[in-house]
Amino acid sequence: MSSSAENPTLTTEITKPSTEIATETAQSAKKINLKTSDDQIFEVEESVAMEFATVKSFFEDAPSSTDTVPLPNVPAKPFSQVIEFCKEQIKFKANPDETEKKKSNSEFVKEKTNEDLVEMIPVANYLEIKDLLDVLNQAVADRIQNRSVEYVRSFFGIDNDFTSEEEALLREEHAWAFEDVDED
Amino acid sequence: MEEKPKELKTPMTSFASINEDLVQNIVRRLPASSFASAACVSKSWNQICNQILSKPKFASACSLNKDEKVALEEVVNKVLSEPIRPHFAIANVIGSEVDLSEKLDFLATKLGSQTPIVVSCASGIMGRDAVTGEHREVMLEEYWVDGESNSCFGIILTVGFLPGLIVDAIPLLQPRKVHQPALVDEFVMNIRHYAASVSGWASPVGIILFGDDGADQKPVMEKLDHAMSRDTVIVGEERTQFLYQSGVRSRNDYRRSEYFPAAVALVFARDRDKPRGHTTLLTARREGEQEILDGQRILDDINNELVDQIGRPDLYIGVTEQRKCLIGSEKSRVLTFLVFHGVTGGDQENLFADGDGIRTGDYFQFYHSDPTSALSSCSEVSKNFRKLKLDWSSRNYLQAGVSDNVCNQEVVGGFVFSCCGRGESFFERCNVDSSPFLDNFPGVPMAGVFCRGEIGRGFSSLDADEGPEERALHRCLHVYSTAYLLVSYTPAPPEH
Repeated sequence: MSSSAENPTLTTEITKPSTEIATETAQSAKKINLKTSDDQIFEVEESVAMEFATVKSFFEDAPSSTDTVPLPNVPAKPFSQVIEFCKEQIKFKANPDETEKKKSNSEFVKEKTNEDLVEMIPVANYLEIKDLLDVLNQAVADRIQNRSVEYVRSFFGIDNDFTSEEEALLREEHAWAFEDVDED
Repeated sequence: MEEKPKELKTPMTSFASINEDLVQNIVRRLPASSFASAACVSKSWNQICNQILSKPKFASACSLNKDEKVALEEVVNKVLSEPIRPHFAIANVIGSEVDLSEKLDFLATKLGSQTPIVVSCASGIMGRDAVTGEHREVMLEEYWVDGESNSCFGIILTVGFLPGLIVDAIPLLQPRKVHQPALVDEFVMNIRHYAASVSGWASPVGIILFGDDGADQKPVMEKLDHAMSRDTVIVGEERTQFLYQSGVRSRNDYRRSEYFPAAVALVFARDRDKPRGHTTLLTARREGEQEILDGQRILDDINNELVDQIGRPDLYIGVTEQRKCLIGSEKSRVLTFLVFHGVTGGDQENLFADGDGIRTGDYFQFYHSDPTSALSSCSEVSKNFRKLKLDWSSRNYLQAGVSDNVCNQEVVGGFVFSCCGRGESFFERCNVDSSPFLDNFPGVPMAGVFCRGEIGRGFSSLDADEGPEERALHRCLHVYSTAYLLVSYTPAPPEH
């Protein structure tokens, strides 16, 4: 994560363990503790946490709960990036500006590695963050466009489970698409 | 029990473990060629791709970009911007001195060298603009006046994915030597053999025919009409210039041989190996000519009209011709055709008509082009389409109760073949010829051409009721009319 000095509004408490709750933001909105699958605890502003439909419904079912919310399917690394995205999104809720939002979204995905994107997708899906899922799916689709089958496999870390005969047959069936592809 | 060391389960973060919905959500955003790569990634990805593309799909787009290369790229990119597998393609171009072979070559590299493709010249095109998404009807002549001289070009491209059907382009060959007739019997038999080999049934579902403007399509249509079952839909352009690419390599070497293609048929036959749902081709056809009662006095009137007016309204005689039809050495059959011949002039005793084949004793009536009857028959087509739609949805509704909405018959695309005499200048209104389609199936891909001689197979009965087949009046080649081709799809009922 970038240092808070450069970008004070964005980072603050994201990666800090819950034991050192920052006092300087204590007067601001309510915080919620979220525990990732690798046992890291994130303290997130309530407004950000409410962007996660899964977390939101957790609190709707148990409104008075003050416990740490476990997120068994969410590892820390992609989660911190998801939080980063949602913080940005909230700004546009106050004053919607579609072009600015688009720009911000595309900047968000631009600086992410392929691995980052692929890791974030299941997190966004689990937390039911529709906007983010949409942005990520499109970004991934853009990155695998006009790429070879092998590239797509390695992009997602998928094993080829075809026999060579099966694959040859399939490629023959789709031959039209491979006549004009640039190899990576 | 022997315990094998368990393989480490893929961690949750790995994409492979994610449910199908997520993969589907990504791959459905891919353009067609990348989608094809995705289908080859793994078994599960292949399955997901096949779920996305399980129904027939059409994509069409037109471009009027003056730069031919740019226009071509625009329409190709547009039709391939979504998942689709090109089972066939039709491109119609307007412009002066257009090099068709360049277009065909480009399309072959983008759509596959084994995909059946027909490229033809038209007098006008109708369809949705690749860039603006706006529906256009453009006639070459009008466009010419508006644009700068000598630099007009327009193209409409349609690509179709038709699971359950197999498509190929089959040419009608004619010896290059003068006065040698086209090999019509061979053509018809090739189509039948092809259809029989893929579907087990000698009549295909449909044929889209493109006729060369140097060849007479009348005998071709007569034989086709005779040889094909009534369910075979035939539409097309009668007189055009075209090039084609067939999926079968040996059919493609016409460019060098001693034959030239006098016509080419895009043949749609059911795929017996993959009966997936039910794709139906339907036609509707409306005339823009009004019948004039025959009789001596009217003949005089018409002669007056011919003197007074130049060119407009166009006058035709509709000749009812009884012809013996046979293919090869098969048993012959007498069919009755209604054939139109343009009236080119007349003197005191004679009337001059276009074309040959009229025999003494053939019965005929006069017809002239008439926007009012054309307009009302256009709304008739629209009404028929609407009825069709209502019919389908009520059927869907009825069946929904029993088996959960499985029989959703829906239109996946359409073609319009319209006479080049129609269009905006004929109706004094724009988009009339597209309107029955646009009004009833908004958003469904459609492509159309204004052509010289529209083909639309149809029957009307000489008797009031559906008479025996011999009494049916066969009409294939039309004047001042529009032929509509609808492609619809009914999913196969689920197996229990």
